[in-house]
Amino acid sequence: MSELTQESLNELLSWLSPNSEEAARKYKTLHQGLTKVLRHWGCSEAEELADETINRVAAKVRKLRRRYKGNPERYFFGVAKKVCQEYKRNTQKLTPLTDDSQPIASSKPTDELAYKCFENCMQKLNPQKRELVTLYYRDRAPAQRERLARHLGITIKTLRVRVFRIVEDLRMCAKKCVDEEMT
Amino acid sequence: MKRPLRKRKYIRQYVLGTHDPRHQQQFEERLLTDEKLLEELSTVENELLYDYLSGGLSQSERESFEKGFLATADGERDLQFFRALKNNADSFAPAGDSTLLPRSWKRFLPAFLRGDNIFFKLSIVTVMLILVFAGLFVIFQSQRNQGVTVFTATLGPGTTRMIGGKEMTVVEMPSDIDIVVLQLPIGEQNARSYRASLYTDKGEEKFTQDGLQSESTLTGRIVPLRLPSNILVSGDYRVKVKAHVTDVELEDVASYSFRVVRQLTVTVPAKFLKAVV
Repeated sequence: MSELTQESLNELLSWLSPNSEEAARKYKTLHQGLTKVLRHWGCSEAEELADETINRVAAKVRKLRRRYKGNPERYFFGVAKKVCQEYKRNTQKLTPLTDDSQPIASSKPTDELAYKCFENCMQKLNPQKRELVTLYYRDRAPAQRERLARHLGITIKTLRVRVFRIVEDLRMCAKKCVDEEMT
Repeated sequence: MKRPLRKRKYIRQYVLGTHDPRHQQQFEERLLTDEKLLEELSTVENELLYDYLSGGLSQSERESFEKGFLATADGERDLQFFRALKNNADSFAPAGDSTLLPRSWKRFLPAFLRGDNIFFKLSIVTVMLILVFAGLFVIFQSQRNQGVTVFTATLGPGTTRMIGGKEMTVVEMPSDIDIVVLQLPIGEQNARSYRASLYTDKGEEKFTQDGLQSESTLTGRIVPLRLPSNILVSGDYRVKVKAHVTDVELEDVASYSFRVVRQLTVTVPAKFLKAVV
């Protein structure tokens, strides 16, 4: 795994944009986008691989800024492809367990743990958000969702985005809880 | 409306792995820079996860989804999360009106007016402002026309008589008027515009208006001069008309003397009238 130094990170951010706020926003979008794309290419641990992609680019960014012409994002895209290919090659090389090998503890959380964490996170949500997300998923027919959107005085599209944001918060909370319980 | 639907359809196909691969790289490159597209992709992923758990996907869609999106460790985690979410939603009380969610006054509006598009909202506000100002203008104009009393007097040939050796028009002006229009004959003159100035018999200038336009009447052309009635008290006046020959050059056209006699209105209280009757 490549290491990211503060200096190379700063250099990378200023390559993305001379404005520091804009650069931070672009960095966040880039990381999220790489995670999605890597996942779609069938690379597990997509978040870690997105980090690796960014670290590799950051390591070369000083030279790149002078030589590379074009959108930085396109360069990241190429590096991500390479990182994913390497990952797949390496995971295929791992020797499968034989029948007599000792079982190792699973790294996959149990359904019970996932439920417990989900419930904890739901309780932390504000009651209105909790009700909104529950109603949205319980009443899934388009007419029912339209009724819910009308009740709130918003469009279906806005409702979808609002629920999405609540679900993302819940998901982050649940992930953190599961990770903590498993370590 | 068609484009967003096409885009949403493509995102759905991309997550399911049934998309057209010709546009894949372009789409994926956009994902690295476009926050909104990322958000839409995540929304579609969530919907598909929920559909998968609720049996809302076709057999072939289920298979593609399992082979692609759900095959990774992250996919499994997402599925666990949505299983918990579905379990929670399914165990919620049966359908009824929400108790906690605030009812918005906007619920009475049609869907297109509940949108978040800032340009659309600005357009609506602009149109409403235009309508309000147009309405106010109409009301203001009609009130102005209703409440204003105008008195018109024609000066010049045919209206004059000799008073103290001077030829002048006598204008008997009622007391309850707001605007006086003096119609000033100019013969067949037709300049670009005119200036009319009002003087007292002592030569003091009381009022001047520039840029006046002449009008055609049965007896020839006139220049109408509108002035507030309070300028004219009883007494002798002279009005001079000049024509704009060029931008800077003025030419004398006509000069009229007139005498204003203001009529007095005496308001008699009703009880006195009754007594008289």
